[in-house]
Amino acid sequence: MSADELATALTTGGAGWLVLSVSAILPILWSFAMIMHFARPYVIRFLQSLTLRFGGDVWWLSYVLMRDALLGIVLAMSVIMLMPNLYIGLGLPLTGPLAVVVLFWALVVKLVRDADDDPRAFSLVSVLLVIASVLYIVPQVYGLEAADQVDWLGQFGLGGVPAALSATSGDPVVVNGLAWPILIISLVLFALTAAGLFLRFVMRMGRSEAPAA
Amino acid sequence: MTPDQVSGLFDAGEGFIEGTIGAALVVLWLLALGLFMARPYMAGNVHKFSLRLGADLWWIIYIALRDLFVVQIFLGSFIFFYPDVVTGKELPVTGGLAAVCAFAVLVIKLVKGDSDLRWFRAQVGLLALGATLYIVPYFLGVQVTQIGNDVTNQLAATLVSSQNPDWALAFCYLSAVLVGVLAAIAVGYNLRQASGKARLDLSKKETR
Repeated sequence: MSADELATALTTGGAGWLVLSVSAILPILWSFAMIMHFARPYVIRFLQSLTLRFGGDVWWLSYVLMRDALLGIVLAMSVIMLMPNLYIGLGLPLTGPLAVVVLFWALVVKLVRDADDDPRAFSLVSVLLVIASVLYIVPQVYGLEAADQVDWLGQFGLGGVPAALSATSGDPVVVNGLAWPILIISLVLFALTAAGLFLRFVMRMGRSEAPAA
Repeated sequence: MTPDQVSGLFDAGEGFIEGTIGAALVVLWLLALGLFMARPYMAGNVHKFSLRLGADLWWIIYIALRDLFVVQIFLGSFIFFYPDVVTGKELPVTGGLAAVCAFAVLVIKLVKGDSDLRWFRAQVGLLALGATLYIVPYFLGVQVTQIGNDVTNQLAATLVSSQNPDWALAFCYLSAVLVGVLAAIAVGYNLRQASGKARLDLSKKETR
């Protein structure tokens, strides 16, 4: 192998390794984000036990900061699912792009409504987050991370599950028939949601945002 | 260097990271259990502060550290839900079940809190069970694979996930199901709290 070929192999291999590592870490980040979101009753219960408003504010702002930052980080890292070269080329989780869209919707609900004080908004965000996390975690764990278990799963008639849950699979590589439609629908929905959010922002610009004291 | 060696390099990197997570989890389990058992010491110190601010901060830091360690244990243990990882790497065979124990502690905290002594005992019991399910197969299985005598070989064949793939896969899928059930309980509890009378009891506004 020449120096150029070695450099190309290392950078290409490194890029693939990085993307697949992000893809493997995302279920962990998803779980962290879900734990923080659904820990709200526990956090509020502890808040009630604090004797000073200062302590309560420190506790609450730390919680909200971590919870919302995690959701933002998950969305930012999940954007790789919307990139055709990575999603199709590396065979990422089949419903990963849809998970990005649903997570984006959950964040939009948080942005346009007060999910902390409006129980219906909180329920809506919770349901959207559960759907998005299932759409990502299930195909990642039982598709990509179970690709070597085809024989073991075959004993139970489930040998086709890993391939069915990945955008591409096998050697030679076969593209899942649902991969392109899912990617295109997700890209369209993501773009429409982003455009709608931007239009709303522009139309409401200049209106008072500060809550009544 | 050949293309196979390049991919082997990255596979080795992945194995190194997973092996490091496996070793770090031992420390995390011990720290979490230690912080739980340090509760009387922490509570005793709260009364020694001359300012309420100091006492509040001391208690907040203790609770946040203690609970975040349990969360970190569960997140680190996520590798035990990946079938290819548990069958391909030398990990404790019951690591997934230990993760279920950590997650159960979090769900009990969410639903019952820490003030009920019975449920706090249940949390400590589950944490001790989880630590045992993780640390025992790690020390007696994963850490004896290179000793090479009959006893250690037999222990490794039973307690190391890559050498006992049938058990490892069964525990992997069972753990995922149990975590799914516990997660559904947590989601249901949150949605119940967000509606009806329960919401009034937990209103943030009342506390601030």
